[in-house]
Amino acid sequence: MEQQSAIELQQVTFKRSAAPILDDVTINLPSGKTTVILGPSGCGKTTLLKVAAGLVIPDSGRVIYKGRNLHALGERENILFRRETGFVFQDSALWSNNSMYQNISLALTFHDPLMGEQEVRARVESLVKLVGYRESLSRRPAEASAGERKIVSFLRAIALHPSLVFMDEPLSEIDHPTAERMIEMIRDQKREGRTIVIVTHDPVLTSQLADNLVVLDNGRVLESGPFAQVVRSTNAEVISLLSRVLSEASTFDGNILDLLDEGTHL
Amino acid sequence: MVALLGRRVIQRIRGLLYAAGFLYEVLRESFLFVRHRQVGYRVLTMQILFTGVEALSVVAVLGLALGVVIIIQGMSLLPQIGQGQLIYTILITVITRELGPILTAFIIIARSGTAIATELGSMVVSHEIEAYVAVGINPISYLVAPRFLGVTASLLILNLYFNVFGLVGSYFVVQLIKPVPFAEYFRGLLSSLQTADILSSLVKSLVFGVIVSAVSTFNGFRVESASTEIPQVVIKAVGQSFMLCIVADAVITLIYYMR
Repeated sequence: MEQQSAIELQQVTFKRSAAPILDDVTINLPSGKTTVILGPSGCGKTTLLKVAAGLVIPDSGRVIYKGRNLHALGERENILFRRETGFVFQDSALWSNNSMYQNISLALTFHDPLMGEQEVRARVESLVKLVGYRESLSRRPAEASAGERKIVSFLRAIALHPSLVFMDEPLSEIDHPTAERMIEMIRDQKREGRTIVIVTHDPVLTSQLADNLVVLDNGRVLESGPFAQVVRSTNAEVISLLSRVLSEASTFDGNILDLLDEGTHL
Repeated sequence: MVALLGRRVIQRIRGLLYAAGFLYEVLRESFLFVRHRQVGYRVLTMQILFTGVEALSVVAVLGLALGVVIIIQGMSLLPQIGQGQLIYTILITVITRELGPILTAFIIIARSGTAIATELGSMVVSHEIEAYVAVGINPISYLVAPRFLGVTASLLILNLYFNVFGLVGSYFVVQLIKPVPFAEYFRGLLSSLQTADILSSLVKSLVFGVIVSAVSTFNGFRVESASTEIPQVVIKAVGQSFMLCIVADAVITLIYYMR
């Protein structure tokens, strides 16, 4: 059955200094589902995620959102699209001159200028409580650990309750208990029917959350589709790549595909 | 060879068109700034504080010292050739019309132009600009417009301070060395000061403010991915700001004398 698209990439190509980063990529990111993009380091996953989120303009091809080319949206439509989306950057990309609190609250005050200061504070505090973040929010990002920055980046992305969340390596640099809480929060987002697109090497995150997989290599999509279908692919290239990519981040000795297949997949 | 030259010319034209487009966006967003909710006002306040208030002491000392030098030199030399009254015209020409605007612009280039280009360049490298785009905040309206308005307003105010310290403050310092009657000094000064002098000074400050802020922000955004690009764009921002301010100064002065 054809799944309804939240975002659709059609023949997207992106080059840097004549070298293709993305080569004729056509994928469908189904609405209300979690899509995990897998591939070796440097294969174009982050660029693909940024193109899908409208942060990078492709050299050719189209990114379709609600039937319209994302890069042709007007100013107002673009703001509405941004209100509907959240993005967790690989390096967190927190605003270094702002406090952690301001990093989370800025999007709220920008998109809801009528929201009172107390309401904003209450929203931020409820988010912080959810993830169990106990450190002071008045600190600046440089005073926090990489893991803390990643958590705040995640909270910033979901502060507006977006319907579409893009995450670039959301669990990197996070300790195990916090990672578990983050997975739980992502699972909550999934339960609430949000469309989630994740770039990761993490087999646990993939096995527990992925509905769909996109396997990328050298800027080309090797295979994409429902999780069960892709992990049972007979394509030798896909099998080899999945084993290689997931074992990079895994300490498990067993077969990685088995691990994915037998995970606590929702 | 010809192909290479052609490519360079096309590249330069594209660069100029891009810069013109950037300036248009900055002007548009600055006009719309008031409508853009309260989030950008904090940036504007911080910019005025850094550019306008914190540079006050440097501008005051420079204006005061220059005024003292002109008064002492003028009052020693001009009476010898029977042109003692020219001191007031020289003061207005040098302090109000010429050096006031250009020296304050140079101070702002050195202090704020470099800081703005460095800050924006670092933000590009650490993906902070992308993060603004990701939450729907237009970096031009949130980061550039307040800096543009803050630097331009600060330059106008600092030029005014430069004039106050250069024309009035210096008088009081000179009293310690060579007393001049108060009424005579200020009467002479006011009779030499014309509306055109004030207008010329204000127009120069305004134009220099636009140049310094636009050039610095533009160069800050030219950083692509590496921190080593930051000092390069800062050097470019300083060089281009100096050059454009001097050229604009010459053009405005020319217009002043052609009226």
